[in-house]
Amino acid sequence: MTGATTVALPEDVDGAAPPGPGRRRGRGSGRRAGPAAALRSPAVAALAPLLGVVGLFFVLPLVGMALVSTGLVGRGEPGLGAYAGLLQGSQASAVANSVLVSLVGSSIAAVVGALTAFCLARIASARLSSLAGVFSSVLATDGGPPLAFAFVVTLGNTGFLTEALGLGALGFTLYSWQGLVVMYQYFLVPTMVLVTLPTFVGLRREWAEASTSLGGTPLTYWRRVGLPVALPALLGGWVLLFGAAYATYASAAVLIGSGALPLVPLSIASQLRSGISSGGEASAMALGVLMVVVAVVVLVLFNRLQARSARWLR
Amino acid sequence: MTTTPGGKEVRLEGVGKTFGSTRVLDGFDLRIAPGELVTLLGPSGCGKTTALRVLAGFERASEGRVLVDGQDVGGVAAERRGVGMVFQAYSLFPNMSVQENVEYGLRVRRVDRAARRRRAADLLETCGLGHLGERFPHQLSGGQQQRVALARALAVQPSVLLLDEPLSALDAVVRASIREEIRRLQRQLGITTLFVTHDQHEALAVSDRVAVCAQGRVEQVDVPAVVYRSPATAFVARFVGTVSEVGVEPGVQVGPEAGPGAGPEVGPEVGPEVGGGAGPGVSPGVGSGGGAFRPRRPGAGLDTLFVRPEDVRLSPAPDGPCTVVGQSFTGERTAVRVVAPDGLTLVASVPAAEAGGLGVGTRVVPRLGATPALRTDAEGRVVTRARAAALA
Amino acid sequence: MTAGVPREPLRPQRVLLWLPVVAVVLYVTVPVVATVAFAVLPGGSFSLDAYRVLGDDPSLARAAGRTVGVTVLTVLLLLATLVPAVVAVHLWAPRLRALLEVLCTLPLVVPPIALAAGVVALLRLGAQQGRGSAASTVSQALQDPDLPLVLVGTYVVLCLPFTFRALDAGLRTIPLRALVEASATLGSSTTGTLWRVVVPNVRGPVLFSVFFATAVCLGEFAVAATLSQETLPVWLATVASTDFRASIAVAVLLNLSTWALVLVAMLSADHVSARGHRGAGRDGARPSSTDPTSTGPGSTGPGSTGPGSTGSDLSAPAGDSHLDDGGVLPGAAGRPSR
Repeated sequence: MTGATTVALPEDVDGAAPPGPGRRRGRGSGRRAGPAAALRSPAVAALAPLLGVVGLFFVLPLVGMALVSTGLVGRGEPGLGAYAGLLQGSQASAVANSVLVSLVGSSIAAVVGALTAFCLARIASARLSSLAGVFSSVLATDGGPPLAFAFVVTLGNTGFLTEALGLGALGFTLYSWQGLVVMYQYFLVPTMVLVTLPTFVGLRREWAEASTSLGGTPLTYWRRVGLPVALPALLGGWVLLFGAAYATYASAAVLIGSGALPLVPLSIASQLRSGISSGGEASAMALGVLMVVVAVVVLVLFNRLQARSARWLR
Repeated sequence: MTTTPGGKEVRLEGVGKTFGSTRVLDGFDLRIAPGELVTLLGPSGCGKTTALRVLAGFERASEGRVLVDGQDVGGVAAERRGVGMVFQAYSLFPNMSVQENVEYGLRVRRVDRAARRRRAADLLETCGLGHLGERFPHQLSGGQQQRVALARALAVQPSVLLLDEPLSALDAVVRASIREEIRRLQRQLGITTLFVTHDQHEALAVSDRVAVCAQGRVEQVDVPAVVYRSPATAFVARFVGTVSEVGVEPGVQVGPEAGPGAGPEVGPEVGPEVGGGAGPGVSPGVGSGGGAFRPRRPGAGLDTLFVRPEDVRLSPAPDGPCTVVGQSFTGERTAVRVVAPDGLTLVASVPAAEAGGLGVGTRVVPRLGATPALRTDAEGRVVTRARAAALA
Repeated sequence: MTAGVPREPLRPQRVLLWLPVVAVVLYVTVPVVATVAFAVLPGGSFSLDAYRVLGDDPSLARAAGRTVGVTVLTVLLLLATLVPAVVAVHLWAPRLRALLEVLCTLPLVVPPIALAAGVVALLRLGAQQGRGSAASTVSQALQDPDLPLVLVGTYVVLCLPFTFRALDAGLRTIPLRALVEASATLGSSTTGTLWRVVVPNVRGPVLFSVFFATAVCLGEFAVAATLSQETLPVWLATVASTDFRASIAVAVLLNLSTWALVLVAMLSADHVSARGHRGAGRDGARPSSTDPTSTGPGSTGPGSTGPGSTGSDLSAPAGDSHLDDGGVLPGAAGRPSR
């Protein structure tokens, strides 16, 4: 309330008017400035340690990464040279490979995952859906060396499925972009199931029945209602899978190592390793910034699509 | 009953439906005359929605026949039955505007664009939604959504309109106004309509006839006043309207025509369920007018009277057998709750002006001002019903 | 009432619906079975020889010790910083909640390898300040191979999005402020109130955080490898080139325990969310309520995928945040263990 007085009488602020009681209260109570008051509350003492950790291990590294990538800090030349370098040579092929693997991997997983979620929803068993939700959550977090090992044992050059099915003769090798695509399905498909299962379950029986009572066949229903309603979630899931595949490092690093098939995350690691001297650092940081940008775009797109889907399915 | 060429006659004959081991419909019979609005009233689980879904073609009857204008439609697919359906809620296609929703059925029938636009606009106007055509379902209130759902169902000029608890998700005020809307449109179009609900007030207010449904069969079908005044079974008496159940010796007549005193009811004999509260000073009916009765709970060996609140008269008397325990004011009338010594609770509906003399704690003598709606014997068989002929 | 009406009996075409499900289950199980078989069935007969590495290899013991140390510290630091912050914001500064939410959600956007790159940049910048300088000393201390504190800090950050959401959701389902005020009017001191009212209500989310953070610490590879800290996953990758069967054997153990931890984490969060949502009242008109939202953490509302997002539901209860209203965490994009 006292804040309103201050705002209503600008001369008060200028100090032209004699200090009145209202003004004194306005300054003294500290109630007017919401954030300021909040900052003096015990909440701040409780927040400070967390802010410290986040600042030190998240904000500072990212700022540092951005600064090094532009050469403003560190040993590189100031400028956008590191970014220009992304368009050439091994960097460019790393970006191209990453996009290829992510695009193909996410597209296959989107189709398979959506189909699976659709079937799970149509089977319409609450227990099965719960189970699928839990296991998908667990599998969606899978990755790292154990995943890579599992695929080496199963589909590697001497893997048991490779030998049992004679995949080697077909020209399949796990250590290629196709191999990565196959391996990525392990966590991409469950992720897609996780994202789209609520959507398929959320398709109301009333919609299908309303369509039928109005003379529509099942095909009409899917063409005009079911698919259009599910579409945002499907696209959102697909975008999300692309982001997940693009950001995947650990399993690819263990499977491919460095060199054979350059990918963005692998290039970051190898250039960091190649060290300060070669000037690879700035270019690694530029690739890191690129990854963050891709991830931000993915997140924004995904959230938009999910929001639309949520509005429809409420 | 309005009979318009547009409406068709609907018959469900001996329809049975079994899901797994659950018998949902069992010998379900119902006839709806052309242009008539029949409500199917019953508690949840009584099979009323299943009956409607059998009629719509969403469920296939395990036995029995479904006839529309004499034609057995049992083998006709749901999308070819030409029934309009309005669901409980959330049935509008979320990805389409109101206009597109209403046009859907016409589009499926390949009606040309201009014609279906015109038809949709007309219907939206009729339903009071003329200005909402461009909106999407999530931008509408629940009441508006149900109006759109109605317009969408009517757009294809169905021969039968099915309403599955269309108002249950709405709040009371909106419910009443849409109820009237549905009734008005139904009359205007002369469309044969089956309206499923568990709300008796809705059923009594909106229908030509009410079909009360329990355990997979129809207990009674009649005009609302008869269902209320002269229920066919104890279930109907309890389910429709408020009813008090009073025990009475078999053969003893109670009611305005039974005369003062109600003879044998007054006496020292004490039923097994009567507690110590019935002191020797209590002699109901003594020195009062007709219709007095001994207020006791139904019990072994007794008949049961089903008494409507407006048939109960209360006269204050210092030695009256009952005590007023509560009042609820409802406007022109007041519901007064009294308790007898054995715990019997009676509800009487009295003009608000008389309620002043019936404050909580007042001793009263209850009387019956009319024949009880229903009398059953100890086994639950119907002994007498109020005369329906006078009411119809 | 359609509720309670059983569904149609099984028709032949319903069998077709199981095909993709079975295919995915097979695809997911075969590598696991193959790995286990490879570890314990060398040459076709059962043997636990591969597991002798557990006792024989001192580098494994060191890696395990390092991992355990990092895990314990990460869990402690996470709880010590996050729990007070979330509780305080809910109790005293609801206006700062949005800020905290953004802050805790942001790490999801940054792939671990990118974060690792940033950390490397920072550590090198510190080291470049010259021997003996404060920055250089800090940089050294953080990378101490016996207890790499830099991993602890980074892992806390990686855990934040999921654990914050679990805690936040847990606290939003209860009227914390009213409870604390009620407790105060009944004569309880502030600490007593916090202990008796707040702690029981965050138990589920805290358990979730402990298990989830442990799973992250046991599985994380990108940051540890980039910073050349030999934790268990990094050891696995190193040893694979010399003794593949041993690394497989250990990987099986590690993977199974990570899965178990994530599973337990989700179940503990699920417990809480189920309690929070009881009576939220789903639409009774949907008899076939195949409801994956009831599975809890991984599946709350359309498309939230983070195991920590326990707060929302299709029939969202009051008080769901904007993020739950559709803007949902794409957990998998920033999954730490990859």
